[in-house]
Amino acid sequence: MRTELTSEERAVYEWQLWVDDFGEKGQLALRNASVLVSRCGGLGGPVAYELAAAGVGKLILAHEGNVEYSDLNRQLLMTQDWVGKPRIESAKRRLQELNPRLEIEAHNMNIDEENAAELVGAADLIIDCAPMFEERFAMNRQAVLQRKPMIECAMYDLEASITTIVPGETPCLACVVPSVPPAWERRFPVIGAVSGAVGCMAVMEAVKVLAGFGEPLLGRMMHFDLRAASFSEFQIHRDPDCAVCGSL
Amino acid sequence: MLCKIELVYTGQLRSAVGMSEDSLEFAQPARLSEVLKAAAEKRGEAARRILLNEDGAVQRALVLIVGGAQVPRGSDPVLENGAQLTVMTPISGG
Repeated sequence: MRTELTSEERAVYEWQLWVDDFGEKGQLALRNASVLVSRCGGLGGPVAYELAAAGVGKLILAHEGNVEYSDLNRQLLMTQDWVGKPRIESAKRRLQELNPRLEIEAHNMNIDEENAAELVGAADLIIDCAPMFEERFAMNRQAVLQRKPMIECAMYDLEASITTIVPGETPCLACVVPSVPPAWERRFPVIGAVSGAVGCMAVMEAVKVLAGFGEPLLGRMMHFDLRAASFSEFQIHRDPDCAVCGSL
Repeated sequence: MLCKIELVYTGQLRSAVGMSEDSLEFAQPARLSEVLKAAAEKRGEAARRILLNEDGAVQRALVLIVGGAQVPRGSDPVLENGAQLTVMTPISGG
């Protein structure tokens, strides 16, 4: 546990150290934090990049597969010269270029029921950026079991949604989405700036939760539609019969 | 007096029906499930597959919002004239 920032860290984070209610205490909270991001594509890539820029101490990344041309409209940690090579290596390289102080635990695999307990257990906070609901449900189950906060974010077309889950206090993912939606498909329309926008918002949720300031989206879901440039927010409820968190 | 319900469609539902706003009229205040079944009827097979399951009941994996709050799972409130129902199909990362 670090109790002081280095002179280099003070220089790098100078502008955010001026933020009211954040300051050196908040920066140290980030420096001492470990965040799991799954995956690090169109949504998780901007999330990991902003976390690295903000000065989170450790990132745990899980993303299987090689870079494809069709990744490049939105997966900002991937580069065209890396097509055909592992995404996780490209992500690690780009993040380390931005922040050489950052510790990165990079896994060339996706989250599943078998590895979720260990990966969630190694993190202070989880940001769910996965496309498959099976991955999302596996992370949610472990986040609830281990009482870890999880930021839940998603995008489609020009829309996105986000909420912050604190197990036992807010609805968990299964309270809101109890089963795989029949309309969901693995490949879907999206412009990269939409995933980038909600990814940045997810990082702000993480920063607020880790540093203990501001008002995270607890029990609230924000939805925005950039086609109409409209933002809305609504209350979400815990399901007392939720199979995942109902007993908390 | 007719009961007019305003609907907002998001995500895959908006793509399937090709519109983000819709309205339905009923002879009297209608239950949420009636509104969704009427929307499925009006907007055709693509909407029906998203809104209803094979038994014709409302899909579980929809997020339904009335009056700024998610409708608690399992409840089927009566929607009065002028109510706005937002139907969200859960989305993900990628």
